[in-house]
Amino acid sequence: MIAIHFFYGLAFFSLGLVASSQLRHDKDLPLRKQIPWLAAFGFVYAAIAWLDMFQTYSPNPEINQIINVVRMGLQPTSGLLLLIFGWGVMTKITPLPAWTHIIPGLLIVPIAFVIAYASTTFITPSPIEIPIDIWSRYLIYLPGSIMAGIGFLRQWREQKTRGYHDVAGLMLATGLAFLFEAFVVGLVVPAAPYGPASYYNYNRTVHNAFTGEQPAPDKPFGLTNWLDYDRVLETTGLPIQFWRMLSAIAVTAFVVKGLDVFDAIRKRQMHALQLERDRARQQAFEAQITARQTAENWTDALINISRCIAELDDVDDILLYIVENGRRLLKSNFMGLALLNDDLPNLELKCYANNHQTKIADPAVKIHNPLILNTIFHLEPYCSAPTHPPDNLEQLCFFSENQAKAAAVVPLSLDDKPIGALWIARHEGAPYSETDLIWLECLADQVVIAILHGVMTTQLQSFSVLEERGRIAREMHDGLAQVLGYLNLQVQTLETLLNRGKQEALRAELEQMREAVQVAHADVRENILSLRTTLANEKGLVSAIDEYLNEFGIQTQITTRFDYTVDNCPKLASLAEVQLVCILQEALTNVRKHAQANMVSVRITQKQEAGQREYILMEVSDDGVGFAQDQNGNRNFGLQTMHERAQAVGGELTVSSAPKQGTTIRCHLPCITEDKLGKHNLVFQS
Amino acid sequence: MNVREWALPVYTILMQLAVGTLLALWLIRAAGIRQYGHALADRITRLPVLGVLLTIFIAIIGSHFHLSHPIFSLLATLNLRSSWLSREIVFTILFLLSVGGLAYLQWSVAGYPRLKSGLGWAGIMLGSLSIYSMSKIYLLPTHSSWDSPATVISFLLTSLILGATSVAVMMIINLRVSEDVADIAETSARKQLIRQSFIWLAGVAFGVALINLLLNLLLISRLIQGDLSAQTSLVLLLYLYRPLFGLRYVALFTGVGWFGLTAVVLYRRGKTQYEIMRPVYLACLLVLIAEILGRFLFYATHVRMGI
Repeated sequence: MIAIHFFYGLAFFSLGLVASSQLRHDKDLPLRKQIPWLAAFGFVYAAIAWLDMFQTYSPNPEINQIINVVRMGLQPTSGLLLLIFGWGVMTKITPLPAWTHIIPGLLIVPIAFVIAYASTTFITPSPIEIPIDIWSRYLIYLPGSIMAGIGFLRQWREQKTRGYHDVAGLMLATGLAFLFEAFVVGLVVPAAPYGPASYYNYNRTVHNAFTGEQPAPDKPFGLTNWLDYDRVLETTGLPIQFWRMLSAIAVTAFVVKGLDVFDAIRKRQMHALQLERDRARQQAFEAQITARQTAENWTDALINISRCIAELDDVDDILLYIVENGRRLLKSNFMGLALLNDDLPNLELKCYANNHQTKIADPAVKIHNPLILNTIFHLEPYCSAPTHPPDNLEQLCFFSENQAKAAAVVPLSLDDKPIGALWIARHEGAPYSETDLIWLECLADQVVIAILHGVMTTQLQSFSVLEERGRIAREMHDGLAQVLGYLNLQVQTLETLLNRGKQEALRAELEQMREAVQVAHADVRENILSLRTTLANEKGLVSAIDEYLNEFGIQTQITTRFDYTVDNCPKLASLAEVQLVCILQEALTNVRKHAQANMVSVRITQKQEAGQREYILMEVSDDGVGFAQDQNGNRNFGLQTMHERAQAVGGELTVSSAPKQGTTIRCHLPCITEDKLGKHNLVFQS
Repeated sequence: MNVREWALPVYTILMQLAVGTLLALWLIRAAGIRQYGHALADRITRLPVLGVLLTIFIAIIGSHFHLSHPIFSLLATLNLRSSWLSREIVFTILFLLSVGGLAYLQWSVAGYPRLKSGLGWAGIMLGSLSIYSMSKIYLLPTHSSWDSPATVISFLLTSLILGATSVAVMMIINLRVSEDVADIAETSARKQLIRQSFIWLAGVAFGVALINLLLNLLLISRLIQGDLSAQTSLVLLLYLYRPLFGLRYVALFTGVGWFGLTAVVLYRRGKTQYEIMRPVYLACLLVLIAEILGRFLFYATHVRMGI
């Protein structure tokens, strides 16, 4: 028996020890939070068991008395620790359903009766440690073990539901171990002279105030004679301490294993959560990169468009650039731009981009799609929904066999008046989003700016021409007025000389008059030629210059020579062409008036220096008398005007001259870039 | 006392608990009708009425355990004119029937507010008569410790104090059970009734506890001056059962005090009804333990004179 008592205590001590060692586990593990109570229970119950061992085999009654007192304190304490552990396992690991909160209220009456009954047994003649032992087991150990058992059985169901069958089995075993412990520790009690589990009904005594204790009839009643130590020994051949030891070992083993498994599950869940978080973070990062890339692409496209507009590139090129990049950035199969004719609702496709090509629609195609027309009329953007009926999406993708499945249309408006529409379409895939619509509206704004810029450039060109005509007209007026005034005075002088018979003086005056008339005539002819050249600009710059030089040569009898070494037409902006012609006219006027030259040559080439843009170089050279250039850099009014004309279009002008060495005027004007050719602007033909 | 002898304390305590609870509940119901109307008051009180009915059933079943031949218990009703036991049984059965009818009306029949109110008050009256008859059984000249008006008063006081504390528990349980199905207005009405009634219930419980203590002191002084059996009962009470006597009043005043404190905290400091659930449970448990111990002492300390 001593060995059984020893190992009995050792089993519970091991429970406490092993449970303590499990405190290294993650503090957030719900079961781990209850472990300290289990460990404390193990240690205290082990102390009780060993005290029983010492008490049984100790001959000293005083020591036994002390052991008794200590044991009386430890017994309910250990039960309380087990009760707290059981309550924690049952309620804290997995929350109880809401309806269970009313159970304590319902159990008040039976609990009150049991406690009241228990308290009455303390005044019976039996030693006080017996009711303490019995009621500690019934009222504390038993419910504590049962609650722990229920808690683990709940975990069994929980883990089974989650698919962790290995853990579920462990929880079931732990729950059953605790229920077994509830039976052997909480329900099998020492013999006592009162119910419910005692030999009371066999050796019942009744206390009578007058007669003392009286034997009572032998009537077994209820749960009795096999819930005591003797009956257990008789039935199983082993004392109750052995079965309690076994229950302690089982609880220890399964709780420890359960903690490890919970820890592993938790780590697994944490790992899965970590992976999920990393995946989500990676996706967010990739989405961020994609979004940033998209924004950069859009920014680049919009900046390029703005730059093209600022550099006076051709409007057609700008619009083609817009539709191609818009189609690409919006991941569409088609992008179209249509403009209104003077007569509404005559809407014509002007340029488009599809999977195969990007070009100006020539001849223009009339648009009849109601979606586009409605968008223009109401000045409201449109975006198709997945549920939109497909028939309205017809006639959106031109020069393509496939029909649109999704579309977005935005109006083009200038001063709140519709001028056209810009739309995109997809053959397959997701419908367009609000963001896509916003980008499309940005592109539409750029389209309107490009068109407006082209109109203003044309107006500016016309204004320059008009301004030049005005200048010529003023010069004609001033020059002729002066000459006519001079001639008027000279006629009076001639009349006087004729009356006086001074024929030599008369001839001299006539010669002067003739020279003045010749100069005025030359000026007028030159001005008329200038006017005609400006008007003839439609024929092209080279033709205009060639024609002007020929006429100039005829008028002035100065030999002219024109060398043009550019392969195609000079790649100059329209305004630059106008200024180039004006500079040439001014230069030739100076040759006629001042150079006294026999020959003038005009040479136009295209050059490019390392790291710089291409430029047109026009050289006007004569073999005239030349002039000494002002060292201070002061220029006469004509040269100053030529300099200003060149600088107005981003170029520069240099004059090289020396007395008797002729004069060379060089004018550099920057070309527009390779992909912006000075084609005819079809947009403005409408 | 053995397990079988505990059947009487179980029966008497449970019957008094049922009557006291019904009385407290009907007073709260009357207050509820004034504030919220009959329909809402019925919905609030129907679950506790079911609890009272269940208590009566358990009490009646428990009472049979103290009989040698329970099957013949109905024969005890034949001496209605002379036997308090017969009257007790009859009034108990009538009490059961009235509460049963009330429960049926509340759960199955809408309307009839006056009938329900009348049935409730009738039940209270019948239950009180049952308790009175129960107490009169013990007014036996051969049992000096029992044979005094204190026995009747103490039984009624037990009914009042148990009713006051148990109805508090039932109201809270009722609130938890109904909050998922009741609308906000009804839940708010329940909470308000709890808040208002707990102060009164705590006051009644404290008053009854004081009266109980005074009554026992009077009983003790009477026993001191009584005959041999009276003095023997006194010796049993103050010596053998002194720990239980002390424990009884410690539990009683602790329970009542805790209940009062909880009611004040609920009323003044705005604690929720759910936060006071455990203190109310504990207070009711202590009061019930005290009254059971008191009933045990009532039975354990009586000494019979003669044969």
